[in-house]
Amino acid sequence: MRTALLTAANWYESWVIFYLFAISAIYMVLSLTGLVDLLRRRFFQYDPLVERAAEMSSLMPPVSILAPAYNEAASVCQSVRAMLALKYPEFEVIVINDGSTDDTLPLLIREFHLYKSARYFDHTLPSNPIRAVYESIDPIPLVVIDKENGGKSDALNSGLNVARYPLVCGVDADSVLEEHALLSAVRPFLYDPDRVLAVGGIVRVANGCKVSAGRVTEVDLPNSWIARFQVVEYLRAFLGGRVAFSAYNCLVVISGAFGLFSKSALLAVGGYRTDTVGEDMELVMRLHHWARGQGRDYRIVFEPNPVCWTEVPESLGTLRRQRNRWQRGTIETLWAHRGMLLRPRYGTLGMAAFPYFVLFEMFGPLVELTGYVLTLVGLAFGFFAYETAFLFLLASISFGVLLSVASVVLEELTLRRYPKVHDLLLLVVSGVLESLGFRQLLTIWRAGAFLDVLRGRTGWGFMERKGFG
Amino acid sequence: MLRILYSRYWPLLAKLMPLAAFVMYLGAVLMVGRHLTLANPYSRYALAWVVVQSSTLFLVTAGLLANKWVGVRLADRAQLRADRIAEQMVGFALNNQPEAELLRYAQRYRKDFLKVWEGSLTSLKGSARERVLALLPMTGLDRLLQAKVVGSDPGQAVWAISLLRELKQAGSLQTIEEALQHPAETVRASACFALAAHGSDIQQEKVFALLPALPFWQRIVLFQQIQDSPALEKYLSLTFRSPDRTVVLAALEFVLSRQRIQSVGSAAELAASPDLEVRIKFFKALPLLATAEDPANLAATGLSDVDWRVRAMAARACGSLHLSSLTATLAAKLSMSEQAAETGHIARALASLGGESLRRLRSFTNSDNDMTRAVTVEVLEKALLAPGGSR
Repeated sequence: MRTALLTAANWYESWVIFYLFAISAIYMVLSLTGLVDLLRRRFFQYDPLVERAAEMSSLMPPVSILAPAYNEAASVCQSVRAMLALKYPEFEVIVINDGSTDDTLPLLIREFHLYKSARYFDHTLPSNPIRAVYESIDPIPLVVIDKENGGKSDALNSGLNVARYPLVCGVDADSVLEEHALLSAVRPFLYDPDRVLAVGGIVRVANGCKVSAGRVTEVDLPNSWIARFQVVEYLRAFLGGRVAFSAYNCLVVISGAFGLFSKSALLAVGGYRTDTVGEDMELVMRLHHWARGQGRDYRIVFEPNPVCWTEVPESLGTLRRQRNRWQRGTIETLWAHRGMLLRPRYGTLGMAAFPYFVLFEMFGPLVELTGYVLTLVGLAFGFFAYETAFLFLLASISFGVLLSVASVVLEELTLRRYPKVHDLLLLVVSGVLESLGFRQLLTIWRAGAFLDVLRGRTGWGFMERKGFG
Repeated sequence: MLRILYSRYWPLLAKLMPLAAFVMYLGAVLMVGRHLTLANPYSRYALAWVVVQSSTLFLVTAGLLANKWVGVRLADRAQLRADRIAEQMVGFALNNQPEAELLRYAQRYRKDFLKVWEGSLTSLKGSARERVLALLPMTGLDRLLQAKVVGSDPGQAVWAISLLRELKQAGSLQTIEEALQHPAETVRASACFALAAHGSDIQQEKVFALLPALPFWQRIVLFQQIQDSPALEKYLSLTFRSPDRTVVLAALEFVLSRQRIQSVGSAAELAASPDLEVRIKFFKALPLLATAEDPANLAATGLSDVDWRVRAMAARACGSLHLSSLTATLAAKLSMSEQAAETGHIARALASLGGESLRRLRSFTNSDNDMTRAVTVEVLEKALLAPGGSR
């Protein structure tokens, strides 16, 4: 019996090591695909006229920007000012105050001279009751919805009901969009108007950057290591993964912090689902599910140029809650759309991207965590050779370092937002250090999300914001 | 590199490159594995993988940092040169300083000079700008740019067109016209933009002929570039009567984009076009069209259309053109409308007409239809809050 257990443990450990190499290889291919695509964008010459002309044209499709806000008093005014200053011919900003208990609404009313308006809207999508709709007396395209708390998805559905334009852009109220973000994000809709359903932009870490009048005026790295690790993480997720998935039309996440959607497509799939904490991923999966189910020729695209700056948590408690929520969202979404798994009808998404997400994003933390526990137990009780334990450790660390440094390389070879040599060095060091403890901590938190899903835990948990002081 | 990016083989290459790199990586792992002495093959190749991965990372990181270090220094030097050139350029443009020094810079640092020259054109106005424009032919760099326009590198061609079009010289425009045949779409598009803005009548006619077939985003840019000219008048007078819907739609988009009154002659056919998109765009553009028919009659046709989007655009036109004679029709349509967007357009039209129309609109605040009542209240509120909105 003991021998059988030992053999099983050894086999499992070997399998975990193989798993880590496999994910490393997959990420490598994804990063290379991303690199090739980003390099093409960097060297492809755009006529400077294009952006200037688009900025002035009345033919550009108008956009409704939806910004749900829950207790965002610290940063909401700056964010709204930044949204109102976007370079785009025609748009409206719809802030949805989701039953905030702080001063979010009074602040907005005071700052932007709001009055209770009689704006009409259809209740096409179900949502919690709207208490009032406010508009500004000033000539600014701002609408504020005050509604009873129902969560982010519910708030977005309210916003969709009130929105009047054919494109809707979901942004977080604590984020800052770059001036030309909307013009860049709308480009795929202009190039391929009949097929594009949604476009996601890149989300970058604003901690450490200088923000004034709702604009990032100087890009710098954060002072805290926790935030620096997240800079590398964000680069990895967006430049490595999403560019590659987009190239194969398998993009499964458009960040809730910044995404542009065809309103008619969103209404056709029933808007945001309110019973999940991963509403952004779930929505994109549902769009894929719906479009592929109908045999429709469509595209869901990632654009690396439009930038949305966001504040990331610097305390471990807030970060834990955020990652737990993200992982629960991934699990819930993949479970809800399990019907697409390995079904040829859903093309590369069903046959490649979906299995990848199940194997490596959903179960990844569990596999890695059991690998760590087994290694420690194996070493303590002497049933693992040091060679095996050493290999596992090497595989785990080098896998993490590879991904992190690859993302820094992608950033430097393509978009180059961090101007100093010192910044680049810090990013590389962060990429290495991240794998020596921080990533393992995230693995534990993400694995904990499984238990929470099994226990039926819902809700977002408290998110602390400092604001862009 | 750029030629590959613009070539038709690029999509295939883009797919193969990551795989090829991965195969090379795997080959390196196998080679290193052979030289390791661990007995267990699994451990041996796993270690080989880690060795290859770590070495690659080390090399990439070192290369990256070195590249950044060198890049930052080169950029600093280029900036210094550009600052010196800019200083000279300002002196030349504003203070009539001699151009000899600038011409020396232009020969020695072509790229830096052209960058500063391009920047000056956006920041300078009037005679100063004219002086800067005249500088390029003096340097002889315009001939270099002309060669790039018809060269095989599309990136350089687009850049050269964006500089040469500012000169508005026949010779440069002739070269740009040749770029209409360039194999790269992006170059053809840039050539179109340049000729639409500064080309001769014949060159403009060539661009107009291409217009309906251009992708939507190119049309958007092109419409912003087209200048008033006899060629444009001639083109527009023909397009509205074209049997080709794409030609008509492009012309209507053009009118909408320019937001200037355009004479179109008889428009009854467009108002009754069997093509829904043409009807929608026609009524959207109606306030900007000088038609042979009475616009009220045309708008009335639109208000009785079977599609609510056409009716909505016709209502909008009634408001913009102040067609008070259609008040009764608008009110009747408002009572029947089932679409909030259509109701909104009709209500706004009645509000903007004022007087009797506004009184009629107010009566809908007692409508039995919840949607009509709510939209009416919203529109009246907006009318009251608008500047001078106490009518």
